[in-house]
Amino acid sequence: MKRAPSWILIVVIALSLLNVGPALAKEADRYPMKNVEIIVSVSAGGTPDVMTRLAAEWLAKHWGKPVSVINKPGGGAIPGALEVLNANADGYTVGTITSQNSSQQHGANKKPPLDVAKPVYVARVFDVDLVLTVNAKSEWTDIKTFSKWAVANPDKLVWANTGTVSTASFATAEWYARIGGDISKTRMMTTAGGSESAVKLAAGNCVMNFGDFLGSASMVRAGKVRYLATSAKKRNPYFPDVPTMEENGITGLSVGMWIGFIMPQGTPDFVVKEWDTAIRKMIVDEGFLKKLANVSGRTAYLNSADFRNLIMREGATYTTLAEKLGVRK
Amino acid sequence: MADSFGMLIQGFAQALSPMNLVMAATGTLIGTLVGVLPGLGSASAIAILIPVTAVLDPTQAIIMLSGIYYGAQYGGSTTSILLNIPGETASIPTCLDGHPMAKQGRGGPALGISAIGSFSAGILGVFGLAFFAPLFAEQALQFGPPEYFALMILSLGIIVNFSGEYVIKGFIMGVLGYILSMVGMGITTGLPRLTFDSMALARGFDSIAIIVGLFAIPEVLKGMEEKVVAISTEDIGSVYPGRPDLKRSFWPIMRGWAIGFFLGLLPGCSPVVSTFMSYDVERKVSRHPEEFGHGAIEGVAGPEAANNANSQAGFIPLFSFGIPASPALAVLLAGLMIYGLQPGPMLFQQEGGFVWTVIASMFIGNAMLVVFNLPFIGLWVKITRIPYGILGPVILFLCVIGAYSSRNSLFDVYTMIVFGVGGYLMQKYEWPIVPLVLCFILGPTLERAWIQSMSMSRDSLLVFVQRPVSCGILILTIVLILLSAKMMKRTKKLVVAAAGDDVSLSD
Amino acid sequence: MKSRPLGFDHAVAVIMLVVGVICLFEAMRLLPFSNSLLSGDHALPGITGAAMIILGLILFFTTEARSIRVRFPERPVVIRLVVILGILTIYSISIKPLGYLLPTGLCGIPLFRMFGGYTWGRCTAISIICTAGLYTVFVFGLGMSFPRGLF
Repeated sequence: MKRAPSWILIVVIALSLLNVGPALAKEADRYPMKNVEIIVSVSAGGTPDVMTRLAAEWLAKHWGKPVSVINKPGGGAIPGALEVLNANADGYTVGTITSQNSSQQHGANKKPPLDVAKPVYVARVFDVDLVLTVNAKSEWTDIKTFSKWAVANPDKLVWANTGTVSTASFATAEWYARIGGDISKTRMMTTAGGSESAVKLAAGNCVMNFGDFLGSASMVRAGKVRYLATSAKKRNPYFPDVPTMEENGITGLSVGMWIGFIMPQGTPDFVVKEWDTAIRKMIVDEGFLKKLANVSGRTAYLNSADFRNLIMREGATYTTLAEKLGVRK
Repeated sequence: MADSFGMLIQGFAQALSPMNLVMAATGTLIGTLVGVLPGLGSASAIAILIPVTAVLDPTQAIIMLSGIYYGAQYGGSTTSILLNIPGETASIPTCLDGHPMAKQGRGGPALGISAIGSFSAGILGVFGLAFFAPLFAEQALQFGPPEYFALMILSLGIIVNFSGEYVIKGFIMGVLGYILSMVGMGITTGLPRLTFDSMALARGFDSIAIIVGLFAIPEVLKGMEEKVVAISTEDIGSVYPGRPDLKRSFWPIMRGWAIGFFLGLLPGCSPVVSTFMSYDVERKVSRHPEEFGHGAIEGVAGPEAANNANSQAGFIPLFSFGIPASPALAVLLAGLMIYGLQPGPMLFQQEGGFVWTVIASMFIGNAMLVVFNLPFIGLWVKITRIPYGILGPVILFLCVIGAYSSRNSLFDVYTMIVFGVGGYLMQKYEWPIVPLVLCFILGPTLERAWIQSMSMSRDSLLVFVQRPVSCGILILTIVLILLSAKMMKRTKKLVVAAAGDDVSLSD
Repeated sequence: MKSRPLGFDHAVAVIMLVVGVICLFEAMRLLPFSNSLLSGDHALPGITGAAMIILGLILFFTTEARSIRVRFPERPVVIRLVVILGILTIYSISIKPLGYLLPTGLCGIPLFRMFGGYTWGRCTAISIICTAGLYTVFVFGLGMSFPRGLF
């Protein structure tokens, strides 16, 4: 052991270097001090993912610290969201939440896997309009004729969704109930996501798909799929030619989709505040809005308290809706 | 087509501008690095770099990002061949013969042929993308749930060939793979399945943790047990494949390309299917199937070509319809959209300059990859001569990183260790591992395709035989299984004749 | 080199039977949530569960016909293998409370010792170099996020 002194020295130096921790200044002033992770519970390329990536890019520039987006898809977007809730409440793990894995799953389950009272709601940031699409080769060019056909032929109505508890399911079920059909007589086709739903529709494997505009935009441009009508109250600014359901006499549709951010219970207030400030700057930033327009995105800011109220309100609505539609389990 | 050719020439003129060349070089180099290092997939690399490329113009950014994507396929074979660590499931077939080659001191030719195979398949793939994209994309769209289901059944037929001597063990492992793949949330209802109320299990098992556990850990333990001094103590010899190697590899590369390219057109069809299928085909057509598993160069050339052709073909549905065929392409799609480039047939017309420049850059990038990679081979091969006392623990550390990083979860590291012990015991008792991994990967696709088919047909099983394509694939499956059974008898005889002993085919 | 008669496959067969039964129970639990017998979350658990039970039974009753001689290494090597797996387990458990750097550096020392049989001093030096390299490439260079731990 001739060399003992030198290696002991190395260890001592290495250990002492490790001990120079970053806990020198008050954490609140320095947040974020390192990489922030945003967990998206759907697959990459989906609408919530693209919106989150845009926000992450802007926030990273704003804070001068990396903001990475991690996809944890599958299981009706629940496991990803649960992971956020189980993460360290230090403000470095943030989750993207949508109506699907908050209020809708609350409504659809007697014992919801995700307790909507639990998360710290940061802010709602985006709103996504839903649109009913059919195959472009089909005979239907307007929502009225399609609705009439759909009510008359429940046995032929195969509709795409991304799981029984998904925006597509609720939107389809609500629309079908409004036009007087019985959803239990139809068949659903579960896909891995909006992109796959568009493919299945284009191939004629299913008859209709209720999804967001962006998910089937490429397919529509390619002449494979046709937008019939949006369930939103107003026409979408990026797709002004697509009529609303309301214009066609189908009223009272409430199922929607939005995207916001959550954090684990116990996340310090200063983190939420910093996020809120940053988001409010982001949604008026011109460069950001230009990029958002590229993906046909719309901002719909709600602060932490309003966001929580919205989810509680929607949770109750979806519970009644799910019971009425027979999907509450 | 003449029109396309003219556009491609223009694309080359653009792609050869200094800035675009730099972007292609940067992208492919990062891609190679990402591929070589276990634990970082091209999807996360692209996702990390999208914001960084925001300062570039869209064409340059996409040239670089796609360079990362196809560059990673080149690097991916390195750890498989030299260390027997498949960085992703699609690389497992490369391990089967690549690593025995490395142990015999033929790591250089193995790496060389994998680079050449990737290059040829890449170039042919880009060619298909340039001239036949709309045609292929249209056809791929017709591939519905029953066809996917039939394709998954065909992949199952392959299990028989990876089951070793005792087929029932292969089946048990395969079924176990399915069961493991079901752990987590149910795909339609979103209700937990086989999770025993555990939060960690609710997300299911991660494929990287499982393959690293089953392949790499037992490999390290075996090395320790056999008191290996270094992976290869043989003289390295030539680091490049010689003329006979090239000759033996020509048709495997072509077949691998064809398999990889056509399966790559199908979104949602895992590249695993194409690499395993290519390996299986090579073993079937080979005149010396007994060499497979013991360093047959065809077993490296075919799957590597298939893997790269698969990744190039993925650009066709991406550019034509905005359908991402893999997680990495989904991230690339997000990048395209953020830059305001909307995929679709209109992309070729409206943004023709962009599309053709990117396609031309892919030709250039593939050429660059070979030029960059061949000189590195000598360096990589030296890894196999590092004393095992140092390399062993380093591999273990890399395994931990690999298992952890794919989902940033320590649960996956524990999973890896448990599967490592299991894998070690399974190898000792001659239980085949490949069927488990294959079924684990394909399980969700199979289940979804089954449920979707049942939705389409309103619970009629006839849907699989009424549709010509799915019926054809199912018939092919039966033929292949019968052929495999015959082949296995033949191989066993050959092996027994060669070794004069009862040798298992499972390792 | 020791040889022992085969009992492993029987054990596996029994475990697989249990797994099969569990799958069937899951299938029965999920059946009411599906809207048809053939499609839904219960279908694959049901099929695989049944298959597993059949395969497990076949294995249990046919495996005696074969006798593989499994060679286990000598005792000291087995002990070393167990120690290595132990270190690996301790290592992965300690990352959460201690972060990446410290456990890697500390667990590297006995690992290098187990594999290479170098002197403790050399093992420490190799471990520090190795840890620094891994940290530079993966955490610093590629931005991987390990738990921060105490520091």
